[in-house]
Amino acid sequence: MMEINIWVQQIIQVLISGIVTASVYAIMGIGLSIIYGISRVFNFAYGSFFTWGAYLAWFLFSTFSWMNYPIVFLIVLPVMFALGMLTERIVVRSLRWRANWQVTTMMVTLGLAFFLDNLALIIFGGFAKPLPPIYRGGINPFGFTLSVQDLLMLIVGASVMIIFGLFLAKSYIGMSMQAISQDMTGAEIVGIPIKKVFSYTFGLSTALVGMSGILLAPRYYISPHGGWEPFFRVFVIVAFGGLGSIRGTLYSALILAILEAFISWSLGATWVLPFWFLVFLGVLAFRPSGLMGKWG
Amino acid sequence: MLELNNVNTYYGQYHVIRNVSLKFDAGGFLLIIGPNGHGKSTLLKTICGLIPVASGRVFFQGKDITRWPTHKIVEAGLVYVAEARHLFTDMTVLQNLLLGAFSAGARKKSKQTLDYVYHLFPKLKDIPERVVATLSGGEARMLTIGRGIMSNAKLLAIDEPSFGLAPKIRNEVFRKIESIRQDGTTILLVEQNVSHVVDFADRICLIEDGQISFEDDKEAALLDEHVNKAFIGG
Repeated sequence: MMEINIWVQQIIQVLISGIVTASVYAIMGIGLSIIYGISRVFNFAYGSFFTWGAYLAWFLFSTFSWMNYPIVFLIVLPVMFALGMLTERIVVRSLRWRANWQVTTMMVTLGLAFFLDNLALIIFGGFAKPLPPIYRGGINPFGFTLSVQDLLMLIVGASVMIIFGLFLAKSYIGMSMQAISQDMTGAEIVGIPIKKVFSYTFGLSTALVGMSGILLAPRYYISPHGGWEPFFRVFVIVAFGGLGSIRGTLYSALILAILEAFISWSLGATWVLPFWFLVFLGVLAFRPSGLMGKWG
Repeated sequence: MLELNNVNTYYGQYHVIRNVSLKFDAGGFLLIIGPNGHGKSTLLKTICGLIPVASGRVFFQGKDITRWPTHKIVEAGLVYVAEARHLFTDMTVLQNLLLGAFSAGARKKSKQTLDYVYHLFPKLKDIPERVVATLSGGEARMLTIGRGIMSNAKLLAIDEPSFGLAPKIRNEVFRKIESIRQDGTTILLVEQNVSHVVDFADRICLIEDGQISFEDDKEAALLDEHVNKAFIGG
């Protein structure tokens, strides 16, 4: 009897940890997904913006001793939004609709990623930087341990999903984003200023990934090339869910993050990506356009 | 209300619209006819800024809109209703209608305009939460026109509204368009099923090989042997 209890307890613990990770993956996934679904750009600099969001937070914490997380978010998210819009204006807009522009844009954002990573290396140095924990301590509901930091991540992740869902369905700018991803000519016909929405989308996407960078930094360290691994994972999540599908991204973030938690618990963290790819290939074999299927 | 001066348009190397000049007044109903693939739709898309004008000028209510982006043209009240519908298929009927009122001026009046659209198309009033992908052909066509009206249109440029519809629904759509005109919106209509809509038009324009080969009042068109025999079927 005792033994079964311990097993159940451990499994629930792993489930919780998976769901917490999923909430951050979902934020990152939405950011990557909207940028493709709406502006048809695959942004290779996404991981670099992840890193830069964390670096900006680190800069604020190390410069002002009184700094706290709410103020960090209030400052960094608008800065990331502006950086994203700037990237769209300067890098993407001039290439859009030219011959092979999607491939060209991919290459240019890849170049931007190298530039941003190495700029971080020059400015912040090669040593990994820590961020303070979002909150110290934990709670023990029904005998499970749950750190308050994880709980906060979960709350932030869930709130972002809910607010984003309402934003897409109810606000004019959110509806116009959906409209563009469903029928670009239709969006033009009803008078949506497409170029403007493209740059808002880039801004929003960059703010979301910057936010994820800050949320994950207290768990891992920040380093100049540290954005590639999460970018890589989120790419799998978004492709698995179906590029451009918000609901698909949410489901696949949950499935893959819980899988990740169970694999790390039972076999060790090194086995996570091999298993991810097995599941990923399995899904693509039966549903070539991902769970919710919106490629193209 | 709308004036075109020597407008030329290309699809790549292909010269589609050749030196088209056209002028017509507010409150009218201009019917554009002509054989398939001779540039009728292209002309509408050009007017609405979806295809760039290579040379010539387009004026709407006295303003030169030749180089305006589509969203600015829509905001001015010149609204294109596409043959291929271009509805947002994963969204609801109501969301599609509201998106029609995207531009600031239209958004302010959206409640009023929505009432008008529901009055015009009572069917849409019953299904605001239906996802567009599940609509019938007739319902989708009504929605397309309703969405155009939502943009606070002063001039509706409608591209083949009868395309793919059963005769009964087709004639209903034509009657709706006529009542929109009677309520004060100028109509520019491209149509293949000419015999069913010619009653409503007051001017007729024939486009052949990207050029205007005839343009006059309906009465004159009915008397013109070439126009009447080949295209109206009278």
